[in-house]
Amino acid sequence: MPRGELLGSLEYIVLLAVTHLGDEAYGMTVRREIESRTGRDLSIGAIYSTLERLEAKGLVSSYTGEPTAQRGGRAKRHFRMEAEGKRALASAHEAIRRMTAGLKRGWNTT
Amino acid sequence: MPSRVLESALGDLAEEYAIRAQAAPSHTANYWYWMQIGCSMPSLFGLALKNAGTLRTLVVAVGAQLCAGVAEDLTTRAIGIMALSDPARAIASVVIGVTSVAGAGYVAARIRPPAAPVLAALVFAVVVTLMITSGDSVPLWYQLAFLVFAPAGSIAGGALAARRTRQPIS
Repeated sequence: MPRGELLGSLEYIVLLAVTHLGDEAYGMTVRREIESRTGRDLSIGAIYSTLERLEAKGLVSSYTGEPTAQRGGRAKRHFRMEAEGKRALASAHEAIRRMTAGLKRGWNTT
Repeated sequence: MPSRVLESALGDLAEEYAIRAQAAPSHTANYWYWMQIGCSMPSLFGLALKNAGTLRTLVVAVGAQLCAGVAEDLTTRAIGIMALSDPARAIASVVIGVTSVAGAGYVAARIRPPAAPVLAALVFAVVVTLMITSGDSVPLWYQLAFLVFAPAGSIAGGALAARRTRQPIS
């Protein structure tokens, strides 16, 4: 990702979900993780368009699992965080921490 | 849009639908499923446009839409639905229209997999335009039936084409 470019809010949230899920990160689990933690019922299309964008930026990579009958014979596409993704996440988190530092109680992210 | 995205997204929806259908009444799960399909379309359509080969995809989708229109017209004439009573004619018209779009979605996806959702978006736009311009001259249920089922038919046709090209379950 170009130096100085900040993550979009959805990119930030999706990257955090991928981090939480580890090896279990794929479209459905990412969607459900975000829903359970934020209450946002995002569409699977929004999740995939964000993950595609993150992959194009080199922040995550993906690999295809085995097709299963439960999924109608369709394979899972797993996502994993890349080193560049960890850096982007840390950078975004640091930017938010700095911007919220000194604000009234309730904004502190540390 | 890479076909792998559509494949993965449909697989994820199938998996979560199964979970929801066990936990809640099936109509709730059905509603969730179709809301997901509907709400995903703008994102997936945007993704399709961003990817390479956008123009070819559009050409295939527009071509498929024209073919669906011709097929619908020919079938309507062949069956002679104009001779039917008003409600029967309207129902037959919806069935023929949706089937034509589903067939066009299937063929479009066989030529170029991303063309099926693009066709669905085109059909949706055309139906909305017709709804606005036709006013009260056409029954609302008839317009809504086309609005919902025609794009869904294209997606279903595309999913069927993807299913045919998918590797078997190991």
